[in-house]
Amino acid sequence: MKKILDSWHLLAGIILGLGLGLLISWVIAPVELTDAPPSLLRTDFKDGYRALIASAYASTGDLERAEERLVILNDPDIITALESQAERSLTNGKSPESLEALIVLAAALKGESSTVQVTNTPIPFHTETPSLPTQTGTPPTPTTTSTPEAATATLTPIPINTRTPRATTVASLTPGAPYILATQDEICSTNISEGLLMVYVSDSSKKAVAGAEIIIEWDGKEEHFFTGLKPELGNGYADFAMDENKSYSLRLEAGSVAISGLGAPPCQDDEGNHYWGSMRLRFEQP
Amino acid sequence: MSRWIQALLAAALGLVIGLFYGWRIAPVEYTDLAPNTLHADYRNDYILMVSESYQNDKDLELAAHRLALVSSASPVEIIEESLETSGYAQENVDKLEKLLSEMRAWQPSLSESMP
Repeated sequence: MKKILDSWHLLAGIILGLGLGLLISWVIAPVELTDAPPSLLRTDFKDGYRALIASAYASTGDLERAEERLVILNDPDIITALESQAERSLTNGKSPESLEALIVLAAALKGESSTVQVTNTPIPFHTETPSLPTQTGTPPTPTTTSTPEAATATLTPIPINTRTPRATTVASLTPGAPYILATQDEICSTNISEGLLMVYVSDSSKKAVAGAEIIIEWDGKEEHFFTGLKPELGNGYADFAMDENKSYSLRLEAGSVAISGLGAPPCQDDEGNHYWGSMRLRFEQP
Repeated sequence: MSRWIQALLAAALGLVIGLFYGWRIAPVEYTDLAPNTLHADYRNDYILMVSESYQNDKDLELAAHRLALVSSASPVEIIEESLETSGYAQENVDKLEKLLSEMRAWQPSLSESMP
């Protein structure tokens, strides 16, 4: 014991020096990292890196390289990371170009074919001003022969005889619109969320169009949403939850007829209980 | 040897041990880094991606903004350095040189340079 007390000054010196050394190496002058991998980037920088990868892919079309670049970000699932970033971008109101690039890359990685409306170049196919979009020379696709899609596969519409008549849908014409409304259906099914407005967008070759911007307006308000954010329901699919007491107007940003008078149709189930149905719109390029 | 000198020597030893431990054995672990800390290879690839993206969007302001994240140097200097150090194939060099020539001629507007 006496020996320890005699050498207290050595112990104190070492502890003091050790503490000072750790203070310098961890706080005052820590190791500067200059060789970091992208996986260590801050979340927002990772998002920027991912968006850049998608944008570069949009330019080069080199999927293998894009995948290699995404892998080094160490995301648990690169496709999920792209899709969730696309949703965040949509929420944050980021540029549609960036959003489209993310969606297209995610679709490409899943091996799905998708086309994205990347140009606003109008396709002049209207020379008159007809009152309905079906008068454009392109006959609407009958519902029964429409392209099967994931969402529609599970729909079991229940015919309702007590439907309350709604205001007639009025379609106004957008000059040079590249999309036409092919079909518009009211769906009564308890399998679908009440008041769901489902929109399908496809190009002239019937391919689903991901990243198509849809503008919906009601009561002086406006909201934008995009196809392709629920790829499990199809790349050309988008939906919007309608308030049953409101009337909506919808159009495609790329140019389409404006469909107004949209609302949740009233439905009844087999036991006579009331519920709100859904609407399904299909837009196509002629 | 006086006790003070012994204590100072002990403190010096402790300092060396502390520095070695803090810098080599258990250095500060970084997360949430900025792109300017990227390894040179990743930085060069990042710059290449900027040039590839520029081919598509033709947005010099966006390209300059993206380049500013990897270095405080000017966009021109960043691309020039990448051209010198990356050792890319001619196809990629062409993309970088295209962006470089556009960036040299680019004059950001006053509003862009304002905070």
